[in-house]
Amino acid sequence: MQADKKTKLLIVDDLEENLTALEAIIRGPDREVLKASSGVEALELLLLHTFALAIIDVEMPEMDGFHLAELMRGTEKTRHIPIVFVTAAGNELNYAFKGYEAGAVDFLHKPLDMNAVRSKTSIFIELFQHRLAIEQQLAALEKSRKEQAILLSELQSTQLELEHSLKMRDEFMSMVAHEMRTPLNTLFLEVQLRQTQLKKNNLEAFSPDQLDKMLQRSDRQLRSIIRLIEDMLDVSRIKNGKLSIKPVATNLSELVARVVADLTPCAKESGAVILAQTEPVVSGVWDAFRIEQIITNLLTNAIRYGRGKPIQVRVTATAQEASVEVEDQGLGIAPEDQARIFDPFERAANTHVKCGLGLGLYISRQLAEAHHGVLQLNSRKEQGSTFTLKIPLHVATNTHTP
Amino acid sequence: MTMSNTHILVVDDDADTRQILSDFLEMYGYQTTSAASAHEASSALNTEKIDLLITDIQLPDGSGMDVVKLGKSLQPQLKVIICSGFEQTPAEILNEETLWMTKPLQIDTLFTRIEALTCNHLTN
Repeated sequence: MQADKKTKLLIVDDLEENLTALEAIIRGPDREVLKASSGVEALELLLLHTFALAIIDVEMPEMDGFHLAELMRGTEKTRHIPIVFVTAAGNELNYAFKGYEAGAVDFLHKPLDMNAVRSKTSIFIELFQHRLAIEQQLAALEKSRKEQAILLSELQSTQLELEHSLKMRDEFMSMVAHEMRTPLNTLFLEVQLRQTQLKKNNLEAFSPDQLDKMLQRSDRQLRSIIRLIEDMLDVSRIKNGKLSIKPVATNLSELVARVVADLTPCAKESGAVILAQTEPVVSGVWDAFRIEQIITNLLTNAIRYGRGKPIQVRVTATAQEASVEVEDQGLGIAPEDQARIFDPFERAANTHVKCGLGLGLYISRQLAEAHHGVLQLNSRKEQGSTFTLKIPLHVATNTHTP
Repeated sequence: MTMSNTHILVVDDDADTRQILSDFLEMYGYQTTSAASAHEASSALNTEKIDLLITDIQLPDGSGMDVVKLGKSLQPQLKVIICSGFEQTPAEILNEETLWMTKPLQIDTLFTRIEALTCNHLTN
């Protein structure tokens, strides 16, 4: 048993031989006996230690046992320490009376009966240990009550988070449903139109020219559904740190020219032209498919938000990095929205356009970062926006962890 | 009054949807005008007599709801079918002359609704 775990007993007597004799009677392996030869010495020890019992000689010079007991009862730390007074035989009655007034618990009489001393001491030690155990239980109870309160508040905040997540999920589902229904609507109408034309035996509607238009329409709608699903999967890949890129030798100028050509009909429909200024060859090692995804996203946004005004695309390179700038002349993005639009499911506040899930810029920036590059925005209200993609010419294969 | 006299304004920002819906409506003898934006819709409502407005909610330059309000104020007899990919039904605007249909559109249902709306128009 460790020293600080031992039960401490205080014995007070002005005679050294009495202290030694008493100590010999009550000592034990689980106890530590501290000796004081005066009331003052006893008070000093009482301040430093926690005692299970004080055995105090009544007759001492200067401060007698009862006086010491009174002082002990007057102090919070020592008020509850049981006291056993040691008195000379024959004085019991007087002393007993005075002793009880001072809050004495028990008396021992000289000459000391060894068995009586031992058994009394053992009883007080047992009482003390019971009290300690109860105090520990109380402390444990209080601790668990506090833990419960913390747990409860954590539970409440988790509940709020959960409610928020559920709300987000519902909004997300509603947005996904909307985004799926739009192309599905066109496809479904197309099928119903063709069925009706067949029923009416209207074969003109199936001329090669008409069929070509029909296929182009269906192709566009199917692609938009596929893109929607790919975007959702990309977000899931980013969140799980599983967005990987597969770099191969790529001519960025060629890639950008192809995307511009693909999107030109779409731009024309909104009244815009795409003006591309590209250095003939900007070569590097990138994941061509992912870079195409970024450029397509930036150009689609420029067409969507560019108010039908010309869109500029520039491809340049330094010895270290390539850069693609996409500049529109749309409404511009307010400074307070500029960071937010790169978050998933966000778009600038000043727009009525709510096409798509609002995942494009989020995915694009993550793809740029997977190439150890950056996607930056420079925009002023009413003056349009310029998105700049900068990527090092060579990028090691890696798995991007957000 | 024959169906061919019924003039329908189709408002949707998706060109393919506008095209197919107009083809369909014309095949059944309706006269159609189409608009890709709130702005285009408002000029049609300002210059042409429209009996029925079929509009999407999300338009590039505004809400289909605003097109509906403008249409009703310019042409009080106007009937409306709102077609949206959203489930929500803003009750304050819906009544027996303004219906909500969720995409994708079942064409039979659409024609039943169009006939019901335009027949009511005749009896009124």
